Amino acid sequence: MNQLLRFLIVLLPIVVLIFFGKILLVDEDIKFSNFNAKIFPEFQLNDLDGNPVQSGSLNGVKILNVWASWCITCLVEHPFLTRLSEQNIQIIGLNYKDSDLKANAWLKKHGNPYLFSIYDPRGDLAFDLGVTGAPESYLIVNNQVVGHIQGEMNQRKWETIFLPLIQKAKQGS
Amino acid sequence: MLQVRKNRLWKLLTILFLSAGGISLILFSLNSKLDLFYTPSEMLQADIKPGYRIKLGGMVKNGSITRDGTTIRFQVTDFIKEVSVTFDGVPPDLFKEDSGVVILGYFLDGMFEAEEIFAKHDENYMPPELSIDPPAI
Amino acid sequence: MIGEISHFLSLSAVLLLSLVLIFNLFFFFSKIHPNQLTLSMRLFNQACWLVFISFGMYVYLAISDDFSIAYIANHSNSQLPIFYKITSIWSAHEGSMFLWIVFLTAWSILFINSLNNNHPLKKFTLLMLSLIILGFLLFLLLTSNPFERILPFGAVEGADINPVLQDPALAIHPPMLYLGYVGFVISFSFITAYLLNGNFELQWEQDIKNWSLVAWIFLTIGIALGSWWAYYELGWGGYWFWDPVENVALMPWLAATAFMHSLFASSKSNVLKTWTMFLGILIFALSLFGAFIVRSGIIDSVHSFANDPERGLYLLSFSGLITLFALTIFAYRLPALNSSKLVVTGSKESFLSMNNILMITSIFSIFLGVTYPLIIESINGDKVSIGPPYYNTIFAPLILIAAIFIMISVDALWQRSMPLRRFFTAIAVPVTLSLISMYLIWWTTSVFSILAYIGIFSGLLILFSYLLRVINNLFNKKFINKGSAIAHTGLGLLFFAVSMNSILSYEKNLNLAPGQSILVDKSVQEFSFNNIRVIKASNHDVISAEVSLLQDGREISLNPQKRKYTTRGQITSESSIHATFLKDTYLTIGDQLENGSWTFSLKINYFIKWIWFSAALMVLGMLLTIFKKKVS
Repeated sequence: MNQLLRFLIVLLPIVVLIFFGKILLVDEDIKFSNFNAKIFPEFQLNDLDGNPVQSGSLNGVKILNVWASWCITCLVEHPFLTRLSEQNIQIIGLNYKDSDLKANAWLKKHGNPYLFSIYDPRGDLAFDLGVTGAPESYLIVNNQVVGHIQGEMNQRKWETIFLPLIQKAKQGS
Repeated sequence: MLQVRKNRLWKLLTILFLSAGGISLILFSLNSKLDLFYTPSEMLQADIKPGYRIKLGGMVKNGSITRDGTTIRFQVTDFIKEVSVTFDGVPPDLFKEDSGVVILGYFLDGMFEAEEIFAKHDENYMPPELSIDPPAI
Repeated sequence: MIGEISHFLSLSAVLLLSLVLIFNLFFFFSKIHPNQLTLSMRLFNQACWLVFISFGMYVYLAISDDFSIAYIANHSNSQLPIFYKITSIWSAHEGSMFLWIVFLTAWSILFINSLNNNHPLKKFTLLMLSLIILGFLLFLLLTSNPFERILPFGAVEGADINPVLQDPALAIHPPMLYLGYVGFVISFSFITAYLLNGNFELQWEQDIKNWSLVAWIFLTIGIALGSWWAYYELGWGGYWFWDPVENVALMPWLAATAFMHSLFASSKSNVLKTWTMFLGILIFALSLFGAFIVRSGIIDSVHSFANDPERGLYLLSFSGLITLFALTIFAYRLPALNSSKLVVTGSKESFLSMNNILMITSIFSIFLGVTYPLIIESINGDKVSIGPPYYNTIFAPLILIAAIFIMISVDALWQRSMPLRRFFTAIAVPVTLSLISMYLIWWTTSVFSILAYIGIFSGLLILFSYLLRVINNLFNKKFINKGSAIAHTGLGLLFFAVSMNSILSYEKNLNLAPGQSILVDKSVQEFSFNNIRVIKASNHDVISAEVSLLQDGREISLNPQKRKYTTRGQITSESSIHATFLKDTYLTIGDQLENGSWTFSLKINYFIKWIWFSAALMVLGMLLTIFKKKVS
């Protein structure tokens, strides 16, 4: 009896640990609960070429990527974004607290994976979105924010976080 | 000597009996008092018995909120299907159109009668201690 | 600059604590250095001070509006009063974790320095505490760094803090709660040290008793504050929702309550020692579990944005490892620990031992309720939720059993079986009076709910039981343990008030135009919507309704409001509460309809004040117990 008890005292916490560990590691399934989406905030900004951004531009499935010329980590994720754009994933940039001259120069030097970039020098739109810094990425489906990645985007985060959501979105429509 | 053994046996039996009773009660309660969660499409597809209390989650459809005295009517959608909901009372502060909502209630005759409304908090502002959604009855 | 220094100090603390551990580990296998303990203590104390100073600097950063720190920019605002700038520090994950660590460090430094240098358990306790603080500091700095900067330009102004958080009760609730949670690191570490040490002739209970009792008080206050805040702020008039976040605070509290009771048996009669040790470890383990559940996002994980599981994994692994470590040593030592003394059936110790089982059952039920949705979802993907119906069903029989135990066991004797006569005297009068009262209640209210009546009966049993004892004490000079009496009376009151509240409270939804008056019911004879005004305040607009009620012959004024905060457009409701001895009149304003009228929600909540009072009684009872003069 005593032996059993001792065994259980150690076993039960292990079972609990494994159970929760499994959920965190394996069941990283993100159910596409539409009710959780929030509408993309309204904004009146230009793109980096000085043209006003159209309100319909966030229809369909888009990635919004927050970046800046002063952001070192953005350089790190840049090749991955380029690869995504080559696979016809539509990425819109949100140029954050930057100078348009420097931003355009940066794009020229490193390449431009974006359909276009919203120019947000004061960070107004970023503020409404809840941006905490660069780089940061949002998954927008039909003008609703349904996914969010803080920090640089990479293969792992793309596959585990955005891709399932995108697949669900495609199934739904 | 035998008495001690007998006492131990009684103790063991009592504990076993109470545990069995306790576990049965817990399991029974767990299974019978679950609130199952559905999205509008899931709910319309499933065969919900009328007296069964469930949770319905989705977005409040834009422009669908109407008020008639103390009664509120609105549509909950998951962008695939919609459900009409009726609620009597003052809803929580965060309840508004184009926002997430979870409703506890009954689905009868094509109408969802809400007992409680939980409006989803904005994750950005909720400190970990406060993930309680304020319900309204 | 200060931010960098503050960050550096925390890092240095990490270094020093690591040194403490490495140093002792190294010497573990070789000859003990003569000044090992002194040196280790010095390093440890320095590390603790570094943490305090680091946090102090962080508070300065918050007060001085340093919005180059991302966390401060996200949660504070230059327009906030200083008090709220400080409290904004613990309004979200990183900062509140920092506060948690500060409290952990504070408890540890006080306790460890209170032990004599030749106390045999001092070294192991020091190592345990160092390990735990180190683990959390690393968690903070590696995964939840409050010092992160917004580069290259800091934010010009902080994000407007959620107005819901600008509230005194909510500001104090986390510190109280954390003081309670982390206070039990002492029993956890000390008991583990005892088990590691291996000398089971040592007495250990006295050393941690008062520390644990104080921690219990903080935990009780923390939970009560949270409940009180929810009541007046959330607009529903509810005070407990059996939400996972609440449940993970309740579990350590139950374990702590069981621990205390078991501790009394353990130190007085040398029985139940293993139970007490197990419970002493369990409390902190449950606190850790609570921190994990709340901060990993796991409970809400399927309904929220993708969370980086990094934090959850770290907390899970770390908490799991130290808990497993403590429990493994406990299991390993178990054969050597079993006291030869038997617990006499019908003695006070036997009731305390049964109480432990009762508490463990309660904790297990809650644990199951919290994890069941996750289990179901893992198995077949169904999303389910476990709410009040489950918990009410489970807890009704549990509190009844608790009430019966309290009723009987307080008159039980230490180490001797309770004479049958005493048993009947103990229960006869309370049971009779309770049954009569229940009948009266049913007769006057005509409301019946089996669960609520079980609760009422339980409360009454305890209350009458103590009423009897107080009478006995006053007239027959029979001894009564004042602290215990007050605390248990508080508990009885809680059971009674909560149950009565559940059957008597009701709600009326109203729709009136300004200037209109209606009759609501027998009690609220006249509800007059006198006026509605728009007021502009510093950071919000207010719609303020003036309502007067004629309730039970008295005129009451109520002033429910709706506020719209300028920065984020967030709308909150401020309910207006008129609290009296027996009931609270709780009024919330809804929305304006097209015809200009407004909707209102009027709730009459019974016995609410009694609930808060019962928490106060429990705390008072515990204070009396702590400061009781020792009878030699």
